[in-house]
Amino acid sequence: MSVHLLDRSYWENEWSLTDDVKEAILDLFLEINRPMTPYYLAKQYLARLAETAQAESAAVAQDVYNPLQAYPVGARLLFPQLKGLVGEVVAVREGHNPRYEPFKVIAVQFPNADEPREFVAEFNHPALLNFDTTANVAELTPDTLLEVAGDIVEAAFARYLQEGDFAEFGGRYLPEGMLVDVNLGNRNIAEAMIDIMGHPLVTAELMKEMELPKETNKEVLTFSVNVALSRDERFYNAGDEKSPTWHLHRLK
Amino acid sequence: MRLALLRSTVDTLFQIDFSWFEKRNISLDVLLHEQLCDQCAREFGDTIPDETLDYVDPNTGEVFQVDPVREAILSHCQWRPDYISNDTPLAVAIFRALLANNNRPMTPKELYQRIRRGSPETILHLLTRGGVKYGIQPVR
Repeated sequence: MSVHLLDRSYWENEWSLTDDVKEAILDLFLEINRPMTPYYLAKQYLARLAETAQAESAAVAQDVYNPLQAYPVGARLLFPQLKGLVGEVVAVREGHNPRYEPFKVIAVQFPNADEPREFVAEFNHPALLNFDTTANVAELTPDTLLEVAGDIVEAAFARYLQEGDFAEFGGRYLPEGMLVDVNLGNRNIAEAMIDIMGHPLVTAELMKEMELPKETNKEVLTFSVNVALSRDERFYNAGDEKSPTWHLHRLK
Repeated sequence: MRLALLRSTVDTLFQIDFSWFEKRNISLDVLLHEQLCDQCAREFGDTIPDETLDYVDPNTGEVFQVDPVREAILSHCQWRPDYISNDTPLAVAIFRALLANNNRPMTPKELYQRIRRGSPETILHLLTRGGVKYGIQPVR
């Protein structure tokens, strides 16, 4: 089950945002209980996937292509330099170049590729190569999985979070159902505070007086206030999304 | 192709269309030979062996079968400081940058990063105005 997770073509061609994955996303939000960027969410998702796979099987390593080694036809290799693509050696021939001879050339067939691509093998000039030739196996760790599939999962999660029932502020998301209710009364207090001060106030300053629930996670509460104020037409963010500072349109 | 040229931006990928030379009866062999460093040009002399060599991409270990002149440019000449210098005409510098990249497509932004001459906009202008230079065209 686990080895294919290190094969980028699995993520490109087979993995998709199924109902199970969507459920896993909601579980992560409930478990971590904080707003998250698509990248952070993807990182957490892949970390849990790697942990589960490791627990299920000890055979979670994959041979890594190493130009110094010999490979027979039939060998399956992971290519870190090709974003984790896994391919099968389908032919071996003598290499021809007086600069490096003797060496071999292996033809590797990748899934969904029309023709094999060729790679050097039994190559005794590691100094000519710009990548590490010492690794022999790729362990299925959260980091390796993030390297292989992080960008694909992040992009899929970003689309889902943008289109789904999630609140967004400053590039971070939270399910609408997890937002703390910042009601009209709370927002009226915020308006009055800015009115009295006559200048923009940061979220933390407003929250001191807004009579918000005390028992809630502070990060979720702050995020909820920012979302609520951004959705209330009386307010605008005079700062930036990382450090919001709220002001009133009518005091512009 | 003319429309493709006009629609190009600094993010459009360009590469050398080697068939462009044949269609115009321009000798690609002579042009490639002119891109060799002095040492390789001396070693080849007047005759280029009629064979293909395995060039090894140092970033991936991938092997590409190329003629001996392109192999020499990829493996040797491109690493010399005068391969692309301030004296190299801009169009030649772009051609050399693509040769050094094994003709993998590059955008004007990437070409600028490699040759450090003009600007991405200048490079785009050169590649898209006044006809095709050195067979360099947008990737279809």
